[in-house]
Amino acid sequence: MTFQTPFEASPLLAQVAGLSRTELEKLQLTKLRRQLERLYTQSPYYRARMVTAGLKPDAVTSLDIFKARFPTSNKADFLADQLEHPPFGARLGIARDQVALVNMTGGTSGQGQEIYGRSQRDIHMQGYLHALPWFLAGLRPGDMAINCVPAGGMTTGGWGPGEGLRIIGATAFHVGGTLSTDAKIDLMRKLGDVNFVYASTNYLHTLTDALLRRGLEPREAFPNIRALFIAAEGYPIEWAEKIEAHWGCGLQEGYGSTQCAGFGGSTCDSGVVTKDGKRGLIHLFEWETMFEIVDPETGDPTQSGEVGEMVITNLSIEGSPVVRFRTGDAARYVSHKDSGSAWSWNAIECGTIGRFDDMMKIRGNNVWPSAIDAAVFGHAEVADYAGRVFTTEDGKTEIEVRLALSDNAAMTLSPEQRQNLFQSVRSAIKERNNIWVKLIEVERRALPEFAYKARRWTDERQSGYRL
Amino acid sequence: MSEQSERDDDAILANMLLEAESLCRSKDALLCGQYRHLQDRIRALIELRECFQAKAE
Repeated sequence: MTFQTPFEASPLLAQVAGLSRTELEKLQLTKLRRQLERLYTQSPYYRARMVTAGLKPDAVTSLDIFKARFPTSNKADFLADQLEHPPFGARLGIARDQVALVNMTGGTSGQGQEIYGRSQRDIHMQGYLHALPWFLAGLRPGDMAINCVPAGGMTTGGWGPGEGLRIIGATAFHVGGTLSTDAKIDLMRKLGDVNFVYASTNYLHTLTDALLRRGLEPREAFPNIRALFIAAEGYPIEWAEKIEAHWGCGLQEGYGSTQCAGFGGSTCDSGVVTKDGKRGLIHLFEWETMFEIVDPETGDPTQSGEVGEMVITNLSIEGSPVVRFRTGDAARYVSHKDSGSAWSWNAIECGTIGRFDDMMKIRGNNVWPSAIDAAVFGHAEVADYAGRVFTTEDGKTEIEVRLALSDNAAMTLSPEQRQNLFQSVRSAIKERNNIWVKLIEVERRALPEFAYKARRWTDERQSGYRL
Repeated sequence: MSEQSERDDDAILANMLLEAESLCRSKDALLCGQYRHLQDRIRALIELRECFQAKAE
């Protein structure tokens, strides 16, 4: 049987794909008003915000009114709400005994973990918001799927994939966090007929590197692979192109979070790199989640092509929904008019999503780890790296990058080639970030491995300020 | 819960199963898996309620 595109295989998706922008926004407004009316009666947190703003649900007669007048919330607001009304905060919005699943954010910000109470209905919706991008990527009922993200635990990223693969009817192997990389490869080879792999960007890199080190070309070891799906981290285009070549299939990416209750958008089946070698687009599932991309300083809407902060509103989640939540995520906004797609869904550039709050101010420059990733991993000889910013004894800020070469490069590069490579990496970092770094070569095993999101940078400057 | 309402539950679930089976014939591949998920949840509920039938017999 011929493989059908997502839109051929699903009349529901074909319908969504055919919505005009006006029709899409009308649907958003209907769902938004339903959400606000429910929260006005069932969530003291959101009711208080509506009262403060003088904006009752029936006054929200347009999306523009909502965006202009509904107050935003952020992580600090939610943490304060939880402290005052433990454990879920007054924003919960459903009866306490309707909470069937508790999810928390990862806590990597150091500020504290947001807590989310989800209903049985939400659990299906969280599953759907994982199944949807994967179906768009090519996953079909009965397919063999490998989930490399650690399953279970407290996070949405731990529970959503399992539910998503289950409700789509795929045959799922949740190998993340339970097997070593070599054991995963052994299992995948035993299965043979692997159709789909979901992993963090960093882990797909680790997995591919490990396969190649064992002399296995992924496209030959897994000839029926249909799609690779990544999330959570940035990467250079060159890396993505090599991944696609090694695996012999498209690489797709999703933008998701606990606040989105899964994925808020994906590259669908278009891939992370366009045919002319440019970065692809993550098309936003705006009929399930409303997105605004704004200037983080002024709150004004970002122009198409510019980087702004993602502000999100759940249209389809009832337990602990977010309404105009400032994520701190930095993304390049692309209007549906500029997306080159027939769809009316707005988009963000893939591979470059960063954080406003993990930006490091170094020697007066705004430096994002994702930008350094792009510079370093643009060199195929590099296997991984770790960076640190610190203060020297004489009070100067220094940046050190410990860099490990791939096994092949480590064995074959001459001293001169090594010198050229290091100079090229330093120049690439300088070009993208306007900073010079000190490079040190280390063995691969001297660097940490990450099962999910990589944390390659440490900022030790404050500990250097000692008298 | 009365015996009468237990029989009602069985009837409701049997009816839901028929309806779910009908949904599973959908041509929409995105929805089909979810319908099958629903169908099998109903089948599980019917099966775990067999204890009631054993008592009635």
